[in-house]
Amino acid sequence: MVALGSTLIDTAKFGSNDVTAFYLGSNEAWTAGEPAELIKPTSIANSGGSATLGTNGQVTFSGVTSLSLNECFTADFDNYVMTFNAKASANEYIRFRMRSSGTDDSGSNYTHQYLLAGSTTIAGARSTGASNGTIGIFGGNASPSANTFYIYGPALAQPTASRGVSMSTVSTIRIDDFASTHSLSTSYDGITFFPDANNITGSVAVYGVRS
Amino acid sequence: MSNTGMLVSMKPTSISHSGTSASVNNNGGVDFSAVTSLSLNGVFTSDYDNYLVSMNHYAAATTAVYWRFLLSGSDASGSDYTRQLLRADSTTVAGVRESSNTSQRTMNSDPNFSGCVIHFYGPALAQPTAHRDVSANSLNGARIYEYAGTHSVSTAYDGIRFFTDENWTGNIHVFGYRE
Repeated sequence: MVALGSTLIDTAKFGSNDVTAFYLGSNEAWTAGEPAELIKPTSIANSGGSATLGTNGQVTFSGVTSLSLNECFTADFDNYVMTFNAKASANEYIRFRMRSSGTDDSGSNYTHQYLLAGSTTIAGARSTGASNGTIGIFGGNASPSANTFYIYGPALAQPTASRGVSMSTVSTIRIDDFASTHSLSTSYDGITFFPDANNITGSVAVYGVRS
Repeated sequence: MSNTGMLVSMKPTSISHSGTSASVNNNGGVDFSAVTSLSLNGVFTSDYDNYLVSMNHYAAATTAVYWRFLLSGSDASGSDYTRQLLRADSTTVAGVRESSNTSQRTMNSDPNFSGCVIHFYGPALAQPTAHRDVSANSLNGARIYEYAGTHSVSTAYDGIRFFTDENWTGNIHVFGYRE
């Protein structure tokens, strides 16, 4: 949506291209994109099974042991939300690594904090100096687990913070939430997800949230 | 492009701050640097009932981050805020409820980079307001430190003010959930 003074314009095109910004004079611009947008990675890569990049950007995968989304983080957005609807071949932690130009950062630069609520059990744990962050745990169950993964500043040249909010089908239903940080002040353009073992099947979509 | 997206940017009609700098960016969000108070006016309107606030930040030193609702630039500072904390910090998982507060809190900020979202339900409606924040807090490496809260006064508010004990830097963007 474009704002020109008090007038709102829903669609603006030059030729067949959506306008991304209007510039009037030299010092003011109005963005044309939605406040939150579905992002299409420029490419994906997987190990095991299969993965498909959909027309609009959603990635579906089956039986993969790792899934990489390339160039899904850009300078257009500081913060991102990812939605997972997936299951594992057996109950499994789902990890992530930041990725730049197709290479994962597997250094000991991650810290993650776990919060579990399962029936009457509540517990926490923290891992430091880890080689990955964690988004959640997917159940090895016929019913898929769900996870909303918030990631703050991956494409900024500063540390990154993330939070996975889950509905896990481990033990029928559980909360398996994680907060993670990555300490390097590096700009990343992608991310890799992987289970500790076994494989995962489902879908993931990435949304950019404008700052 | 049609008006069917989930979120609408709520560009503040004005902002004010104490500290080094704050400005409204071209997306409608607010960038701020080394502030101890930041008021966003005109971000809650009768056009939308519910809102999402997305923020990332760090601070010069570890500090609590407080907030209050605003009406025409004035704080709602009565003892009307109640909050429930959920904290997961290494092996400690705990909660606490605090009632009759004169302000609300979101997660602490510290010299490392953190982020959170806050969901607000009905701040511009003449009824009590509820909120829930979900945080990625870098304090102690990584921790979960988040609140659910209520404000008991049946008043329609149009803004929010954040304030801290230490210089605070980052970005805040308020979105309305399209109805």
